[in-house]
Amino acid sequence: MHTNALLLASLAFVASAPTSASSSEGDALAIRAEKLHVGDGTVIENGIVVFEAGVITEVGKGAPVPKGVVLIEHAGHLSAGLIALREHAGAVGESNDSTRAVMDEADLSYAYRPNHSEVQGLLAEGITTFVLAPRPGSLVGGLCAVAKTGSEVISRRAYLSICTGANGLTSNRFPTSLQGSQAELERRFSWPRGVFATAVKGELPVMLDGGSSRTEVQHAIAFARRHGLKGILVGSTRLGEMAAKIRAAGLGVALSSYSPSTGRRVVEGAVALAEMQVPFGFALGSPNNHPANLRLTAAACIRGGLKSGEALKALTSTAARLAGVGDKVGSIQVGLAADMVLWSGEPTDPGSRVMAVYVDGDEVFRAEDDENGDDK
Amino acid sequence: MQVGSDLTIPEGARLIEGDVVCAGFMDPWGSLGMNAAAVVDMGTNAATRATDGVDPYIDPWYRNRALAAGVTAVRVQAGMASVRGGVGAVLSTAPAADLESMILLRDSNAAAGLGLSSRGKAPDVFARIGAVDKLVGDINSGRDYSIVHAKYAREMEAWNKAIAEAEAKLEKDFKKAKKDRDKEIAEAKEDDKEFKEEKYKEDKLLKRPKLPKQDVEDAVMARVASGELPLVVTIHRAAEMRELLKGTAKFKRLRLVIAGGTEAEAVADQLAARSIPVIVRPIPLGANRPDEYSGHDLALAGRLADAGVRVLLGSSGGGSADLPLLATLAIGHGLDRDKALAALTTEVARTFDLSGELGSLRPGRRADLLVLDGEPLLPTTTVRYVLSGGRVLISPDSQD
Amino acid sequence: MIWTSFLHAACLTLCAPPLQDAVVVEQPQEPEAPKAQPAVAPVVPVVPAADLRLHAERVYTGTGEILKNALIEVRDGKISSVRPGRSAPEGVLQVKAVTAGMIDLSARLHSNFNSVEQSTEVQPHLDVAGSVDLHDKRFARLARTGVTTVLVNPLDRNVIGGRGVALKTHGPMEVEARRLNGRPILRGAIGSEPSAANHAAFGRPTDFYSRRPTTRMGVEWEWRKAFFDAVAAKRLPEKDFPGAEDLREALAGKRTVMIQAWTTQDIRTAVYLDEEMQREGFGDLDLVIDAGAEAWKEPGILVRNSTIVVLPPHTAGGRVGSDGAFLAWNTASLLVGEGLTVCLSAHGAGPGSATLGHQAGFAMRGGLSFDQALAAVTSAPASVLGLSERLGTVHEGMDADLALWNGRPFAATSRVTGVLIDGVIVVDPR
Repeated sequence: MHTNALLLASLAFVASAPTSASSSEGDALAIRAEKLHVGDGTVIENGIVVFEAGVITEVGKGAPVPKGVVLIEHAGHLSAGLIALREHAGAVGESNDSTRAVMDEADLSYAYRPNHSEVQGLLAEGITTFVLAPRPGSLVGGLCAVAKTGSEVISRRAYLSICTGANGLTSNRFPTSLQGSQAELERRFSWPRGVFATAVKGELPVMLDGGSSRTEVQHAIAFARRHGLKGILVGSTRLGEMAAKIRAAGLGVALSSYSPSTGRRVVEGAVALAEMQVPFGFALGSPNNHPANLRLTAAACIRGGLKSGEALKALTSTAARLAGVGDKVGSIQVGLAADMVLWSGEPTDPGSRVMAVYVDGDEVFRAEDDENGDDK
Repeated sequence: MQVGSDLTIPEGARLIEGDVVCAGFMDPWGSLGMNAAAVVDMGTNAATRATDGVDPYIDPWYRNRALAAGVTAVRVQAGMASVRGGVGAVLSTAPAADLESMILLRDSNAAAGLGLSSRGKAPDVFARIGAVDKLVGDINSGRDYSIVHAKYAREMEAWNKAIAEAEAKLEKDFKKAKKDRDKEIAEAKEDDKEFKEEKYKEDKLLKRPKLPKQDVEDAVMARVASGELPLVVTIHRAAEMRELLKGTAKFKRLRLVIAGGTEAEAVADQLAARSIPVIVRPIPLGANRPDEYSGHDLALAGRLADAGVRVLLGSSGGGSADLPLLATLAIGHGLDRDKALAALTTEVARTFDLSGELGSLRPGRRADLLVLDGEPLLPTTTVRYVLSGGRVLISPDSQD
Repeated sequence: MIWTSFLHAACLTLCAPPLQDAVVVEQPQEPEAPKAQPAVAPVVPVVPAADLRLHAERVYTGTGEILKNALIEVRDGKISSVRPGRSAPEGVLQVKAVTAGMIDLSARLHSNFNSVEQSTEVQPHLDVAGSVDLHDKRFARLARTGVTTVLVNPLDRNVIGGRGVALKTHGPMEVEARRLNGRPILRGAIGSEPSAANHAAFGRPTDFYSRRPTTRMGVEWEWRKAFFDAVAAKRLPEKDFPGAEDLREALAGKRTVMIQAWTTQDIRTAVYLDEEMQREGFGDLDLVIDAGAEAWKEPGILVRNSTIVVLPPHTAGGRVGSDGAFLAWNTASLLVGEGLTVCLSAHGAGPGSATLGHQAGFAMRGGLSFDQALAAVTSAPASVLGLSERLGTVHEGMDADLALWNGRPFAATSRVTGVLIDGVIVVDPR
């Protein structure tokens, strides 16, 4: 299931010397891990996953390993590859055209550079899929793309990126004020054409950057409800405080990365959103944030009260669902792509490390072997 | 404090039960308890004292978070990004009634910063190398200062002794000398001659030694050169580190500590040979990191530890409460778990001369303890009780 | 203590219907059932929401009367009765003095540059409500100084900035729910501020700030052009532009035009603009001058145009604003003496600064009588907003917006210790 992208579609870049762990030529591979995290909360002890041609064919405790298939034993955990929801990796300087306020047809998949070091750096931390989004600065930034790290774009119109708050304003082009941006957005969405019409019908999700303050987030939620938009809210550490309203509007959330100064709101937000059953994932915000920050944010949320299983879901299956690629990636299930990470311990424990990463069945990263043994 | 099994519990003592007890964590590169302006002050010099910038009234929220995470002591510094940070101190994170009770160690170290960016701009190459030379020169002048002052002290001692002897002698001869003088006066009167007072010539041997020039900065550097105060140098680039190690090799008693050390792997063998500890900041940094952190890698702590270098983990002022979490991140990128625990406890105590008070559970030490429900630094473990100075500060009932 | 009751009150307003547990709620005295009635059990009225009574030694009603020892009853957010000559019943909130909640027409509570659309200089149709941040702490701080209603205007960087919105400083957290629908206000400015960022095109890379106006006369030209174009657009639909309708309403007098004009020449320009519109037959603007510091220099032109003036806060040296206009201490009394309506403003000063109450005190120091000063911060601004039936005075039927003082209002030793907004105790004096 390799979709055609416009850039370097056929080349899947491998970060380390390819071993025999490659199934794209048609060989099947199986991995048995001490703990297999399916992605919906269930954990299979000594689970086996079998994949062929980049697709998972079998999953289970006693999944039958077909004859002739190489079985890799992994003394650790296995989970689906992590998914980051709002990235600019490899596209800095290319992902924001602020000369015009509305760039509705701009397609971010053209800005994707799979061989860029920032993209390759994501693999070392287990991030196999990410949403390439425009930087805030335009009122309507463009159409986000979902890409496999180091590989190809798997979804070209994942979200329409809109900044309803002060982030979409500049001082030297229209709009310079919140009421100006609201007036323009109302105009575009009340008589919708093109992508706006698709968004209003609910077929194209929107990525709403409401801005940081509570008032701006309120406006964003009301805006989404008014026009029947589906999608996610990003860019604010205050989203947790609006959990009830977000649930009522049927929107999802991408939480910002953890930093010592803003971390408290992010952590409390995650706990509140989980309680209100609002689907949420994490936005790493690379390259301004190091890829390790994704798991660090999850770990900080767990430390603040979020359940470990919820955190892993937010990193994998929920994020995939929010990005509209839940039928392709995000959990270890038959029929989905073989995007997996082998960990030395719990995936959500920052003390465990990435041992190997598989994208579409190819091993694209393997940790340097350390002779010191386990860190238990 | 008593440590062991089968101890008798004294009358009136509170019994706390838990699975694991360990020493409270210490942040060797923090800012908790300091006034915010003091931490970013760029105008500090070698003699600036961190204890002058301690703020007992900081927002309790920061303190409580740090305690709940298990951090019971922090080494603080004024001017963390300045060229000469001054003299640091070790503070307790427990709520304190006054300044004195916050301070665990008054003069813990001297500090310098080499090659650090200011206002987003990195210093140029020539300025950086010049800065290393200047630091070596300062240590040198500190050593000279201490030599000069030691000489002065010895000379003063000798002079005092000589004065005492001369006075004793004078006392003995006084009566005789007085008689002689009176006789001379009488004789002169008889002879109708003028009596000339003999001028008292100061004995050259009894000349008071001249006080050498006093300089507070040199005084601090003297303590650094003599090994009394460890010198914490915030430095990242390999070239500067090489220069620094080369320049300081001649100071046999200097105790160097490196903070930051982004490119320390390049000189790891020298650091291991000279037993120079490195305080690593295991935080993920993104593309907008300062220039000196260009090669920043979360695996640094692990690789340095594997090379035999003494590794400490610090937060660099960015939040001591997150230090245990960052420690687990370092573990996840290759640092041995036992070494990580040591990096937060015993190594800090050893580096900053606190081993008699903190860092381990031995009788006679200060009771800064954590009671956990599992091995420390595991994701499943939570800190249940935190004691500082024997007072229970965090307990399961007190947490929300 | 103030904050807990503020939060308490905030929670109470949000979850209706609340009861004021902090205050002893007393049933209003029921008149005895008339004897002619058949033997029916007397109906005990259910205590309605937000019932409150307070007793004041003096109530400065704003209508000219000062009531002594008055018992004020508040019901459903409105004042249901004010009865003088009563003693304070047990447990009822007691204060020294009560005035109506003060109204500031120039509180400057906008979101700075996010509140003004600078892509063109004339934006009469944009409503500042879209950029108002009700979570801003300044609203609560203003409430503590006794200001219960404010007019929020866009930042004065445009020639015509757009519509202002009148809000109480406490209430529901949605702008549309909290806005007061009195007279619509169109905000603009004449002077140096609107042209401050503009520059000539040559010699520099151009952005949309290389445009007119760069001078005062350019600003005035924009005003005249806007009105001329709006009238032309009525006849020629192809010349229509957004906001033309708002400008025509302003010319018809259905919309108050509030123009910031600090110095004499700017005030003069504003009045001449109005007179020109009248001469051309376009209409008559209902003109209010904001920050009219130098109105004292030529009161005559204001009188002949019956312009209302809002004065800026007094400063120690007398110089106010970026143009160095001079505001004398006796400006207010001079203008009132000429028969003009004067309002005072404090530009959003919070507790600890010279609040609106202090401005009234300064104006009294300059010669204004107490009644005139009270009117300048209560009933006069209420009439500008078109809300005189609801705000500005203390008597039956008005909104329960009250400022509770610990001494004679506006005296140097007095301050606002309590505030009620819509019958809710927002700042508790106890």
